[in-house]
Amino acid sequence: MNSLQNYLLLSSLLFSIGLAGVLIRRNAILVLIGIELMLNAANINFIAFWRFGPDPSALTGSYSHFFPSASPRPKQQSGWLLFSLRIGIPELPT
Amino acid sequence: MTASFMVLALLTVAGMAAAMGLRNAVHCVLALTLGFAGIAALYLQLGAQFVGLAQIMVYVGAVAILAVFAIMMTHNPESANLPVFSSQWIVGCIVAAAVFAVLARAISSSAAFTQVLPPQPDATVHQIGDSLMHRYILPLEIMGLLLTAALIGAVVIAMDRKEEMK
Repeated sequence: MNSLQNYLLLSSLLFSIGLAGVLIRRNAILVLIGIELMLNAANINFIAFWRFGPDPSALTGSYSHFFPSASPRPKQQSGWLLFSLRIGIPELPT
Repeated sequence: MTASFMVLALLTVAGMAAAMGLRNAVHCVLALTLGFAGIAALYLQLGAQFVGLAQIMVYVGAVAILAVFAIMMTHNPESANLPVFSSQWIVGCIVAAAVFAVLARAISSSAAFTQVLPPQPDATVHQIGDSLMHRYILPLEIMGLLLTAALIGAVVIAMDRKEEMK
C-alpha cells in the first residue's frame, strides 16, 4: 500500500527537477516553466496531506490546492506576457 | 508501493526531467504536458477528482498552449546555436541534488509519514462549490480581484506597446 512518504518523496524529486531547471536553463520561458513545476510539486504535497490527514472529509486539500495554484497564476502569466512583448528575446546571460 | 503509483511516478518524473533537459523549447513543453498529465492521474488516484480534472483542464490544456505561444512569439533564430544551459550548470545540478538529498533524508527519517491510507472520503464538486460560496467566499473574492487586476495589467502592457509602434 502507498504511504504518505512515497508521495512526499515524489514531490520533492519534482521540486528538485524544477529547481535544477530554474538554475541551469538560459531560456527565460523555460525558467518560468521550472517555477511552475516547483508549484506543482507543492500542490502534490497539499493533496497528499489532505488525503492522509486526520479528516479527509473536511475537503481542506481541495481549497489549499485551489488557492495556491490560482494565486501565482497572474504573476506567471504576466511574466510570459512581459517577455513576449517587451524583451522579445528572453535569453539569460551565461 | 502499488504498481499504479510506480508507473505514474515514473511517467511524471520522466516527463518533467525531459521538460527541463531537452534542447528544443517546444519539445520541452510537450514533455511538460506529459508530466502534468501524470500529476493529474496521481490526483485522481488519491481520490481528488475535482482537482485532478482541473489539473487536466488548466495545466495540460491552457498552460501548455500558453507556453507554446510564448515560445513561438519570442523565438529568435539567432539563438539556435547558443548553448541551452548556463555555463555553471554543474553548480545548479549540485544545488538541486543537495536540496533533494536534504528533503528526502528528512522525509524518510520521519516516522510521522508512514501511516496507511484512510478510507476514501467523498469529495464531490457540489460540496466544494458549496463551501467556496459560503465559508471561503472572501478568499474566492480576493482571488477574483487579483485575477482581474492581472487581466487589466496585461491589457495595459499590450496597449503601451501599440503606442510605441506608431
